[in-house]
Amino acid sequence: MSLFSYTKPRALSEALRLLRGGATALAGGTDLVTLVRHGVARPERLVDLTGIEGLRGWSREKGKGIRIGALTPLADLETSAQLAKLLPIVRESLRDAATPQIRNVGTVGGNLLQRNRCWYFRDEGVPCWLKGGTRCFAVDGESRYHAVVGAHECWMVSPSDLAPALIACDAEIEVASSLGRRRMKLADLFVAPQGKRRREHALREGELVAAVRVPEGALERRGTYLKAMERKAWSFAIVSVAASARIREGRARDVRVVLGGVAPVPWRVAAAEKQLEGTALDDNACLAAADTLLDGATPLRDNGYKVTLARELVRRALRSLAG
Amino acid sequence: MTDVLRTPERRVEGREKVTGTARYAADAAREGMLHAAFAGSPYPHARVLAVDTAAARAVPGVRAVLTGADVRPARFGRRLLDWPVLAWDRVRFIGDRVAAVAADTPEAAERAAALVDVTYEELPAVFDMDAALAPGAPLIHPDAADYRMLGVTRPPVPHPNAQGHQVHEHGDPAAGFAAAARVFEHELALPPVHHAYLEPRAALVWIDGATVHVVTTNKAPFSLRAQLAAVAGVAEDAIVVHTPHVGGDFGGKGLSLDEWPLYFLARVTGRPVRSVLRYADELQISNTRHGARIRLRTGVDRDGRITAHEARVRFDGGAYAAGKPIPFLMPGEAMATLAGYRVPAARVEATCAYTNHLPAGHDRAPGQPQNSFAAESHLDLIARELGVDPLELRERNAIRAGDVDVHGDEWHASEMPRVLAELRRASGWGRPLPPGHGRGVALGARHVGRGKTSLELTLDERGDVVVRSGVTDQGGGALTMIGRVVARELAIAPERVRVEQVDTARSPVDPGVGGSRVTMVHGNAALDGARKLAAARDAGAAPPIRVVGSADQTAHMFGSYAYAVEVELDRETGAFRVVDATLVADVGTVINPVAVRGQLEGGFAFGLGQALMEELAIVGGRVVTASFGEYKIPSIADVPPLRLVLLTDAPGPGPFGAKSVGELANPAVVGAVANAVADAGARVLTLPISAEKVLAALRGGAA
Repeated sequence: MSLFSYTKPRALSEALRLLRGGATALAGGTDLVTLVRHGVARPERLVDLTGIEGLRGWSREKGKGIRIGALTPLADLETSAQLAKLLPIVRESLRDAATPQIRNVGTVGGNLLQRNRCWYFRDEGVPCWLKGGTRCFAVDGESRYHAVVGAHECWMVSPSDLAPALIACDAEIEVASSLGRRRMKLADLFVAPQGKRRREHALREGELVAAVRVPEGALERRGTYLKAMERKAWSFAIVSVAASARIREGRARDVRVVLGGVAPVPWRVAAAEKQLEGTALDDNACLAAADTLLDGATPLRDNGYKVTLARELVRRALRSLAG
Repeated sequence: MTDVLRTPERRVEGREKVTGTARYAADAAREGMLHAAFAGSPYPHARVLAVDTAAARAVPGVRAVLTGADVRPARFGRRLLDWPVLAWDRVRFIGDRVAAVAADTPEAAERAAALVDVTYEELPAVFDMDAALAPGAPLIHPDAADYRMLGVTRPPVPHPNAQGHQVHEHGDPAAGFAAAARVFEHELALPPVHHAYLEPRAALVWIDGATVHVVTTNKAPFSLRAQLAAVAGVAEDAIVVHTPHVGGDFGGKGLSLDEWPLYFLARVTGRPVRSVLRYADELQISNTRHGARIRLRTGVDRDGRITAHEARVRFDGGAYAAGKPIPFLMPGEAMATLAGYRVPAARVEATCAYTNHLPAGHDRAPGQPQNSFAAESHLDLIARELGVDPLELRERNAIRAGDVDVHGDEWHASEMPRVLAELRRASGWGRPLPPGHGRGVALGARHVGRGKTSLELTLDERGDVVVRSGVTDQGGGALTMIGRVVARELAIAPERVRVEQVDTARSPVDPGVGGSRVTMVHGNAALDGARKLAAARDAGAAPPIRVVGSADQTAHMFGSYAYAVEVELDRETGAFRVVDATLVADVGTVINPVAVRGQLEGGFAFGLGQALMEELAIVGGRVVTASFGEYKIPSIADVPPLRLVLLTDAPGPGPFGAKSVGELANPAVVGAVANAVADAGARVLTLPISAEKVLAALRGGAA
C-alpha cells in the first residue's frame, strides 16, 4: 500500500479546490480503499467528502422530478418506502447490489464512479492496457466476465447495478468543479476506454458528481431490473437488464432497455428501443429487440454465454413490463 | 448429576472470540520488531540469472534483503523438502519467492521488495497434469534426487514430474469385468479450490540466545518445529513454537510459508520479524486443494451390482509437493475412488503431477471430494443407463459387514445400509417433485482419525482439574471437547476443568490438528488421564495429583453418511438453486453437540461452494481469482435448510464411543448436487456446476 495524505473538508468549495489540485475523492471508500490496498490505485492525496453537508439525501420537487445527492448511502435509497413508490426500479437494482454492509457505506456517486472488476485490471502484477500497458489480457486469457459488445482496446465491463437502472429512468447528473457546475446525461458519464482515454468515466480533472436527477416524466413509466449472479448475494452481474416503458392500452411507449455486465458502458441501442415502440412487448418483439441490442456482439473465448443470457433476460424484463 | 454430554457445550474460547479479545498470530508483536515482504516471480517457469538488490537496500528503513544465494540450500516441506526458502536457480510458479526484505515498516518492506531486480530466462512451462507426465515434458525438478524426505524414504515415481504415484489391486479385475453384464466408463474433472479460511497466514520469528521462537498460524506446532529444525539445522528443543488461536484451517494451515524466510531474516538482523500474508497471496501462492481429472470404469451385473472397478486418477500437485504430509506425496484419500461401496475387484492407479501451477496441499478430506464427485456421478450415470433408481442402486452396492471396499479392506461393521434407509425416509425420497425440480443422492465414508498423543492433567485440592495440551484449536472445539471428556469421567461440572493450550516447550509431543484426529486421539488421552486421576484420588493420593494421559488410536473404522439434495432449475438460463437437503450421518457418541452440528452444517456449505461456484481460475500459471470478490464462496443466501439426522448408537473408537465429524460431511455434497441437476435434465461432468455449463448440457452440448 502506498502512502498518502488525507483531508476531510467541511465545505464543498474546499473539496473542489483540493480536487482541482489533483487530489483523489474518497466517499464510502468501499472501492477505492480496496484498490489502494491492492496497489492498483496510488493516490498521493485523498480528499474525504463525507464531511460535506448538502450532498446527502434525496428530494422530490413537484414537476421537477427527483434529485439524489451523490453522498447518499445506497442503503438510504434501497430502504426508503417513499422512493420505492416513485421509482421501484432503484430499489430492485440495489437489493442485489454488493452486500448490506457495503450498501450502508457506499454512496450513489461512488457506485456510479466505481472502477471496473476486470481481474487483470485489479491484479497489481498485470500491466494491462487500462493501467498503461500495451494489451488487454482478457482477449486471449480468462474472459468469462468480460465484454461481448462495445469494447475497443479494453474488454472490461461496467459493473454498476444502479447505473443501468438510472439510465433507464433518463437520469442526468450535476457535475461540480471549482470552475462551476454543468449537467450531463448520466449515460454520457460512461465511456468505453479507447485511444488516449484509458478511463471508463468522462469526468474532467477536478470534477465531482454532486447529484443525480431523474425527470418527472420517467416516474410515470414502469420499470424493472433483473440480474444474473453467480451466487445469491455479493456478486457483480454476469448480465443485468434495466427496462422501463409507459404502457397505454397494452402498447409500450418510451421504452428503455439498458444492459449491465456486457459492455464497457451500460449498454443501450436506440434502434432496439425504437423497434419496441407501440408493440405489446410480446415474446417476438422482445427477442427481436434483444437481437438488435446484441447485434455485432463478438464474444471472447469464455463469455458466449452472456449473449444467450442477455437475450433471455431482456425478454423477461420487457415481458414483465407488459404483464 | 446429569450427564455432561446431554447439555450443549460452552466453548472455552467463546467469550474471548465474541468480545474481540482473542489473540491471533497477526496480533503478536515484540519490541524492535521488523516487517517482512517478499519478491515473487512473474513467470511460471524460469531460470534465475541474477538478482540485484541494490535499489531495495537503498530504501530508507530497510534492514536486510535476502536472496536465494543467502539461504541456499534451504528447502522446506511437510514431508518432502522440495520448496526453496528463496529460489536461487529456478522459479517454478508465478509468485515463487526470490527475495525477502525486513524493514522498519510494512510499507518500506513492500517498496523495497518491488525494487528487487531479477534477471530471468524463461523456461517452457507445463500446466496440464497429463502433459507434465508425458515423455519429454519439461522437467520441473531436475535436482529431485538431492531432496530430503522427513522420516522415510521417498517411494519411487514413474516420471520425474510425478510427485507421488500409487497402484492398488485386489480381487481379479479382469475376471470381474468379463463377468459384468455392462461396463461403464466416464471421465470427470475438478479445478483447484482454496479453503477460504478467514485468517490469512501470519508469523513472527525471533531468536533469543540459542532459542528460536516462532508464533504461527500453523495448526501442527510440533510438526513445524521438526521441519524448521531440518531447514535451519538446529535441534528441535532449541525451537519453541507458539500457536495462538487459529482463525480457520480446513487443512491449509498445516503448511507454513513465511516462517522459513522469517527465520533467516531474524538471524541476519538479530531482530524479531513478522509477516502477515495478504489474502491475494493466500489465493495465489498458498496450497490449494488439488485439481483432478479422474477416469472411472466399472462393471456391473444384471442387477447393477459392482463386479469390478478400474480407476485412473490424476492430481495437479503444482510446483512443489511440500504441502503434502503423507509419504506417498498425494492427497490423503487419493485411492478412495468408490468410498463406501462393496468392490469385489479393483485396480486403482493415482498419480500426482508436478506442474507450474501454485502448489497444492491438504484441504478438508484431501482427495475425497475429487473422488466422490467422480464416483457419485459415475454411479448415477450407471443407474440411469440401467433404469434403476439411483438410491436403489446405492442400496444394492452399499458396503455391509464382511464386504471389502475399494481398498480391498474388509469392513467388520457398516452403518451404510442404515444410513441409506434413514435417508430414504427422512428426505421423502420418491415423493413427486414440481416441474423443473431434480433430486440427487450421494453417499460417503470417512475413516475416523488415528494417532497418538499425551497431555498433562492436575487435580487440585478443590477437586478442580487443569489440563495442559500441545493441541491447537483451529475452531473445531478441541479444548472444549477435552474439558468435557474429563468432566464427564470425573462426574464434575465442565466449568471445573480448565484446558490450557501450551507451547512446544511445555507439552509432550503432539501430532496437531488434522486427519479427523482430535476427538479420537486427544479425547482418548483426556479420558485416560481422567481415569488415572480418579484412580489416584480413590487410592487416597493427596492433591495436587499430576498424571499424564495418553492415547494411541489405531482402530480401523469408518463413519458413513449420505445426502439427498433437491434443486430447482431455470431451463432458459441454466441457473439453479439448491432448495432442500437432507444429511444422515453416523457420528457415534456426541461430545460437543453444538460443534458436531456446526461441523456437519459447515461441511455441507463447504461442499456446496465447491459444487456451485468455487474455482481458482488459472491462466498461463497466473491465478486470476485473487480476491473474495472474484473467488466466490457461498453466502448464507445460497445455503438451503439442511435436515440433519444423526445416528449416534453405533459406537466409534473415540471417548465414550465418539466418531470423527470434521471431514465427514463435505466430500459427497458435490456429487449429490451434480446428480440433482442431472435429474432436472443437465449432466455436468466438471466442477463448478455453473449456469453456463447447465445450459450447455440442457441444449445437448458438452459441459
